[in-house]
Amino acid sequence: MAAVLLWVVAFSCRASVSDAPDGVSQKRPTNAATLQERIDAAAPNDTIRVEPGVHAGALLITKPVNLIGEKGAEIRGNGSGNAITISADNVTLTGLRITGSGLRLSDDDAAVFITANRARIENNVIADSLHGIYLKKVSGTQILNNRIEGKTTLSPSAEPVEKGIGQGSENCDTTLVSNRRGNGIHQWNSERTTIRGNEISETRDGIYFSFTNNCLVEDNLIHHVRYGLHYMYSDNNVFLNNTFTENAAGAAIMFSKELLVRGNRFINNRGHRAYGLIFQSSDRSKLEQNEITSNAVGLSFNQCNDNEITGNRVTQNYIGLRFGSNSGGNRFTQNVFTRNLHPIETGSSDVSGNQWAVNGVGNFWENDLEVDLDHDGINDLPHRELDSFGILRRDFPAVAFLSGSPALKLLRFANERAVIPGMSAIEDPSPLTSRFWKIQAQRSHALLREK
Amino acid sequence: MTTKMKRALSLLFDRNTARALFTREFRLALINRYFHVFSALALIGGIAAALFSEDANATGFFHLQVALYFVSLFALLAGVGSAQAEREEWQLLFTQPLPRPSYVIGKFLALALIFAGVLLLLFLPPLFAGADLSMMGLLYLQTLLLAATFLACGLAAGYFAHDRAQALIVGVSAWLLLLFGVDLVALFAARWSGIQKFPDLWVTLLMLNPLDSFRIEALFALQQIPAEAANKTPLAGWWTAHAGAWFAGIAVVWSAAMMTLASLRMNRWEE
Repeated sequence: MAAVLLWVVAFSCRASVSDAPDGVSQKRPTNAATLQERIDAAAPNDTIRVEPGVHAGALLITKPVNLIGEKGAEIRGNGSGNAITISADNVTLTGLRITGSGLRLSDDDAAVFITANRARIENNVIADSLHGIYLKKVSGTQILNNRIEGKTTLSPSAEPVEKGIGQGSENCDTTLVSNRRGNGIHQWNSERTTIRGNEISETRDGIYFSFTNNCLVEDNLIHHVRYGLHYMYSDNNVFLNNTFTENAAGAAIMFSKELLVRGNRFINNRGHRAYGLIFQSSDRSKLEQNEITSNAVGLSFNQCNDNEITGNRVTQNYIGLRFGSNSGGNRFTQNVFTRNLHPIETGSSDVSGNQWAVNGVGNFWENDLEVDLDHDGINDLPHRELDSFGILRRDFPAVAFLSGSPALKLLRFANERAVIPGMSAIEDPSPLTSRFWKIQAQRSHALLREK
Repeated sequence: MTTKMKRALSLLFDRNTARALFTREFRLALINRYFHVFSALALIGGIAAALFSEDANATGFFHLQVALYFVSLFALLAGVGSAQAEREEWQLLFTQPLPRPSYVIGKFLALALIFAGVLLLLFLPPLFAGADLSMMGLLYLQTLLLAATFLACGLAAGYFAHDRAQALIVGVSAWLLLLFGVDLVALFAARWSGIQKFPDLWVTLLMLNPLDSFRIEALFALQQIPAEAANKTPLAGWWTAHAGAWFAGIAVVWSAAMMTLASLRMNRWEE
């Protein structure tokens, strides 16, 4: 009853201006309790409307409440620790601007720090913080339609939290270098998280997974970060229709198994060692219908086994597919490799343990001489894709100046007809012709009509 | 530069001389089958790029390939053909009070001007389909420079050879060497540890080849190659940073060298 009274009092008060701790003017109800006091006074499952204006953090939420921000409502941390800490199950944060966490990487400072289950973080803007949303050993969190902007600069007058580390090399440089920023969404030892419809930029990594299983990541846009997705030791997760663009690397998926990565776009991740999608020591996963375009390296496989790579478009990359060592049992089918300057890089790795066609259906390789006498959309001759540089890329990097050379095309053409000894290549026994998909569509249509 | 070449160049600034030379070349070009075919292919290529390219970058990449394989070859053949076309008339032509190099230089400039026009057929259509003007403009200028280089090569081969067949064999062999030979040699040389100790020497070989210079400039401009992938030595780094300027320079040097050779040959023929 007391809590209800407090809530009524809080909402009936006129908003007024008062000084914030850091000197910025704030707007909050006159004669009312602070937001923290209102939260403390609220009954479980109460809804607290947060009025426009800046509300001082840091907030600690220890009971299931719904914080719904009105337009212009901001919760600003005090620049130390977390702006909001959620330690109770079933908390909802909606419509808020959340800023001002601490900047200590060693303390995992975050705008929203969650240690309880089933939190729902929706339609918020998170900025000026180290980590955006930090999940620690939680389950069932929903992170929906938020915008998370990383902190790229320090205040010139601010004392660096970690002197000499967080800032650029120049004394007057206030740029926060990317590897000293926090992650957009950081998950550790969590499960069943749903991350949908968020936009993340200027953070260190967009979404970070560590020991986090059974999650759904869908329809997010991640750009201008280091790794769009940094992912380790996490199994059975699903990634659908996300876009990773303009990052140092689109996604790095490591030491994990049984993932579904479908319909994502890894685009324009440029620069040296910039990858669209790295698969490292990850097994029994499915990569389907992703678009991997205009990256330095499109798709990289290293020590990966028994994955299914189906229907992906790998186009316009400097290197389309890099195949590292000790990978076997991977099955490639219906993928499109076009306009890559180097479709394949194998180095000196043995790639013979992988299948380049499944059930007689291979992949589409550009410039293939199409010989399809039975008109099934599958070339009657195998395709050999040559790795012209091999280990020279490592031993003699200047060889990259031969990229796109007519001489390499000549060698590729010759290797199609007769294997050139001493050069590494993969062989697709059933390469697709450009008419394959049209024929498939016609067959499906005919089957439907029959039914 | 010889005194005759200097005089020839100064004569080209004379309106009547320049007009006579240019008019002659333009008229010859109008009845030249090479130019008919080249113009038709350029227009078809331009329209195809406009209609079928997936994006602006694809258009640029397509034009890079066209320039590398076709423009260079057509320019070379045009040069050879033009030099050999009037072989029978040399005795008559040389009775004119003009230094011999003026024919070579005038022919080169006129052909370059014709190519500048014909290449518009290749480069203009994609602009109507939304291709990036600055990218296409830069690629156009670079392609024109490449064409000028191979025109000069063709003229040199044409003036040096005794007949058309020999000129074609020499010209096309040189083109094949520059297009495939240099890079094949470079690729296999790169495997040799002795060469690997001197990467700048290896890079120099590519830098001196106008086709490689053109390819590298265009590929870096189209962001097909991440610059850091290659620039591991000071020279390689300098090249990637100044690829455009270097290509322009090497194209001018090659053109000037070929023109000088052709002019010297013309002077010797007089003797």
